[in-house]
Amino acid sequence: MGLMQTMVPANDADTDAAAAANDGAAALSIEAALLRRAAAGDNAAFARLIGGLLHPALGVAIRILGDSGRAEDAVQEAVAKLWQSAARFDPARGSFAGWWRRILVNSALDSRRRLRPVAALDEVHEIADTAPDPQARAESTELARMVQQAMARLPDRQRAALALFHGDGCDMKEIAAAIGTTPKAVEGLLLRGRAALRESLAHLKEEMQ
Amino acid sequence: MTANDGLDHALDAWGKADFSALAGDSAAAARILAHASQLSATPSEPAAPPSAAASRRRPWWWAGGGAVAATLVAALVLGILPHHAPPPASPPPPAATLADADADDSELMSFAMLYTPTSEEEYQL
Repeated sequence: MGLMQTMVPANDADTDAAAAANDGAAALSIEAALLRRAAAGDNAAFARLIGGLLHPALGVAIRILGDSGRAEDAVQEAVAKLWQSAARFDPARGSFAGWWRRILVNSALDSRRRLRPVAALDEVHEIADTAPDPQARAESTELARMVQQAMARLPDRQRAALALFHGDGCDMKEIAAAIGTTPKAVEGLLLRGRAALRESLAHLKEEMQ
Repeated sequence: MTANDGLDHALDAWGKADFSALAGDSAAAARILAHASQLSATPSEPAAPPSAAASRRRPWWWAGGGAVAATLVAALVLGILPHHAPPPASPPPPAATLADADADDSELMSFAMLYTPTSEEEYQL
């Protein structure tokens, strides 16, 4: 799952904290253990938690918002919400990953609602790609840039669903939990989003066929 | 390759692209971390009560209802208890008045009984 792929690497103290908090019930993730310590006043644990969440969160926020400045604001707001509600997190009611994803996506969608409507993406030329071959990397980056531009014309929830599905590797249930809807509705969002993208990217017929 | 395959390929490229590598991202990350550090200097909100305790949580009217009930009980008790009538007002003590110069003997006698001369007056007398 993308959002958690590069999350906090475990060290002995974290593992001990997770084990201590486990009490034989469902395993408590390293992140949840860090959050528990942060809620108890451990500033270093909170900084460590945020350090692990930051880059994946920025990636998701940029995919949804299409703007790095607004993505930074959304992540910052999500971090503030995470801190404010740290003590209320209950691992018995769901995973930390799902909880954090929901906070992040809500912050991004709220940010879009508060600010101007969909803006053209000026920064897409700066997208990096992880493909090893320079030629493949260049093609892939160009394709990603075009998709990102086309995404700017989609409704918020369609873009959020596509960002979580393709960018974060979430399944329908996880996306539904993050954006506050049903898995069936997520399927509809993805179908409509893909249909709109296919139309927007029709000029890429050569690449797409 | 179908159109769907092409779209999947494009979305795959979009999904794998490292958006967090945008220019200025490290500065953004540093700002967010600094903000997180500032936040962690302030206390977070207290924990919600555990779910079992939450189910026993009193409704909002509990406190108000309790106060009303206490007031009613107090009013009833006060209504049932016999009222203690205040003691009858005693007549005010008679004011000491000086006898008139033209008062008769009986009045002078009563004045003399009330009047106690000072030692100096006694000496002068």
